[in-house]
Amino acid sequence: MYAIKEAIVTKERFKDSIDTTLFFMDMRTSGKDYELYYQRAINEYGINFVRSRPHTVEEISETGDLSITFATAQSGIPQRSVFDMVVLSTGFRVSPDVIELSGKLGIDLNRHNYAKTTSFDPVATSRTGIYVCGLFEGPKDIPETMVQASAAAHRAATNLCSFPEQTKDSDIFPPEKDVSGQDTRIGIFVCDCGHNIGGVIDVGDVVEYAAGLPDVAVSQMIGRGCSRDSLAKIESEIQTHDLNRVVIGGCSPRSHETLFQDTVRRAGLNKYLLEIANIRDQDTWVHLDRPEDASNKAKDLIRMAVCGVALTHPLRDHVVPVNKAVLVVGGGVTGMTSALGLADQGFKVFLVEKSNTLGGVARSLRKTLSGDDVRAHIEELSRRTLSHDKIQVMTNAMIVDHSGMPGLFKTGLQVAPRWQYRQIEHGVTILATGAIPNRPQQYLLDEHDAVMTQLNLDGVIEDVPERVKGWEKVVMIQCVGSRTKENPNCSRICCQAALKNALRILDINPEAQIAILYRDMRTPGFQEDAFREARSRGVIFARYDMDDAPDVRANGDQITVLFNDPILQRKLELTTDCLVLSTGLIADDEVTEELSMIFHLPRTTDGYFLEDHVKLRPLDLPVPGFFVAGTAHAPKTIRESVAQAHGAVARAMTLLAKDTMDLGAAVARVEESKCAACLICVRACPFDVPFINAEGYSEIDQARCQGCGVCAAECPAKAIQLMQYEDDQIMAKLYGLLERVK
Amino acid sequence: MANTFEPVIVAFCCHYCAYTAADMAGSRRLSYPPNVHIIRVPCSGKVDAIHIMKAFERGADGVYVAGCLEGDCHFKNGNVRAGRRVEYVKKLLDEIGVGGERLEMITMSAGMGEHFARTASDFTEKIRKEGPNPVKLFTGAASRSAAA
Repeated sequence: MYAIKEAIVTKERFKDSIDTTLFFMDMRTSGKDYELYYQRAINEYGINFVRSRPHTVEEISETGDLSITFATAQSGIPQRSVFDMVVLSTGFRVSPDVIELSGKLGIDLNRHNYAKTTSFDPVATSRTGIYVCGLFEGPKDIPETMVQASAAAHRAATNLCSFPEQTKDSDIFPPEKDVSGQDTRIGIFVCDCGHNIGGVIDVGDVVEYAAGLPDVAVSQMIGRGCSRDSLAKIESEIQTHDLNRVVIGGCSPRSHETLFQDTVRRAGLNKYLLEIANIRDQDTWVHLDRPEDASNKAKDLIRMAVCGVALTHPLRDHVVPVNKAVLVVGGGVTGMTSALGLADQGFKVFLVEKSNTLGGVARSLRKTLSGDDVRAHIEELSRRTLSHDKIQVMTNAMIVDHSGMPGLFKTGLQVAPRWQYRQIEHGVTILATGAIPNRPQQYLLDEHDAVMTQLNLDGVIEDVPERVKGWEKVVMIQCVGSRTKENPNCSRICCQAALKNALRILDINPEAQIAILYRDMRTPGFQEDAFREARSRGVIFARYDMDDAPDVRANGDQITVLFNDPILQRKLELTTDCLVLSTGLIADDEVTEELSMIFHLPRTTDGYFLEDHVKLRPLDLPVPGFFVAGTAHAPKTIRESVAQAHGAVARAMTLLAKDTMDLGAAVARVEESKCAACLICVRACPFDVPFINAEGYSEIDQARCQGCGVCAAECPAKAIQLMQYEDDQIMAKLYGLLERVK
Repeated sequence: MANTFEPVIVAFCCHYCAYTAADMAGSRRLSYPPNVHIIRVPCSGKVDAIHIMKAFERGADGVYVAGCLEGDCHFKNGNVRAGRRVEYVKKLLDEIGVGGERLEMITMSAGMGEHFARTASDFTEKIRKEGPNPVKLFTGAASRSAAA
């Protein structure tokens, strides 16, 4: 994945002037939406992917170029290609210091010297009270690292008895300066964001241009604007130059507004005297190929921000009390783990499950790859969940409506058997609605008794081992119903499931011949051990291409599988006693669609909930107070789901630990002298907030206003303004942009 | 002349869907024409008829309002109201000779970065074909002095 990203970045920056070839053995793009990224690298960027393990890199002494010798499966003949540069994808290993530290701490390491943990408590080390997260737990990507960091925070909190004293804003921030009546003094700070901005446009030129805009007192370039040093620099510049408005040119306010608001606030200014010009996500990243246009656009965006910020004025945040009850939707492993984590910390939890029992999809799973007993774990989780005095479990329950605001949500349910309606009040919501096992009607599935899914096989191995003993030959087909046109993503769990079941078959029946037909074996981290073990125990792996998929025919009680062996380069025919299809998971589309409508949450194109930020906020949903965990986020193993459940608990606790929640300042205000009590706002508000008060004017309850601004847009007298998005500010941005139009 | 015409386009994008989709287009490095300039609003329902009319008065060649998919609006139905308002303003634009086709309501979800980039490209091409906003022919100098 890392290699693909670097290859794409190279293409973006240098276009076709650099040819990029990526040598690989198996393409392991099993993370959320990674497969789509891989496909784009092939189809849109024209990166040349060569499936081969090159054996020699030599320098050509005359030219200094490097030659790579490799052989592909299609032709066993060694081939040579010459490159200007060779980049090695080298992965991770644990440093000797960490190994030494582990010895001192007395925690167990696995055979690769990573911290040893278990499937059901993936961030807890062998010693109580010591937790692990990130790479030391195992090689992983950024989103998973972030999840584990939160998970470890939650697990550590379980060992502490109480929450620390809450810090108040007044402890951190100086008093706000009064800027009313002052001349506008704008400070502009333009970030180069490493190469992200500075590599596309000349930041110095933009800064120089911005210095000439009206009311600008300071215009500066800052290195990585969000680094601690840069933030301190901005803070001191605001004070030194007595600035009273600030514009940051950098990345999206969606991810970094809060950070810069804190900086402005530390410098003694109200946090709403800030405007961010999104010159990265909405400029340099999308106009990489047109640096001059990107540069002009950066100037436009900064000019718009300068015009807008000049009209800002100090605002007070709207603060609401937090209802410390939590709604957890979904009673599978993830939902129960989340519910227990919160309930053990003393929070009231409503656990809503649509089916009649707890356990979810994991109920049909018996063993994990590392051999843990899933059924026993679910029984224990269910027992604890059902008997916990802080958890109220509602099975056969359906969510039907939702209202309120972060910290004070109200969700309506209908509960079987009589489907009576009840409403619960909660401050935070965790969605753990899971995914469903895919069951595509392919390869005689549900038509022939010898054809089953990996999930079916898991049950057969546990319950009817004598049947397994009778098998001479077993064939498994990977990627059935995933990585296809209809379902383009990778299901992530199927490769490890195939290995797990192949090894268990061999445990019961060492004579069985097993062949796994695969497209890419995706065994990240320690799953590779199982892959190696399977090969050493004689499991045959044969690769197939999507356009040359295996052919399957019924043959009495048996199944005949025809496939092309790329190494022998000929069709092979295997008659098997059992054909196992690796079908993976698909999003529970009906459920996620329904809930995304009720809760106003976005989904990915394949029906999983879409997190607020893929890397930085993998468990947070865009609506404050909503979190996602488990397979409702993307296909994943139980181990990964449990880590997300623990992580979501920690994220939820960041809100629950406080008595109040900050809802920002975007609320509508009525200027009474302009109001004609025409009732248009009363009718327009989606939340029925405005009403005509005793004095005969429209009144908008600040506590209930959600901040959409529909009333402000519809008010014919322009008596209503939405704070933060006042008309004069929007107009100023517009005029700022169009100033250059002749 | 027609070849060198670079339309100025204003895109009012709602924070929860379209603006997020625009950021996603960025993180996926999906390129679209630099003519599109985004103004963030909390909800597409916040975009006032006067914002759109003023944009054209000051010489924008095209404007679109981008909100959430129908049924997905973070504020229940702000996008539906925005859609109706856009229809109304299109008629006004037709009446005054600017042309309603220079204004569009577009919907998308936060995850549709590709869709954002594609609609930005399509809309820009469409406006490029329409040619410059006729208002500019008459009020060029006047609006310039008013802006300053």
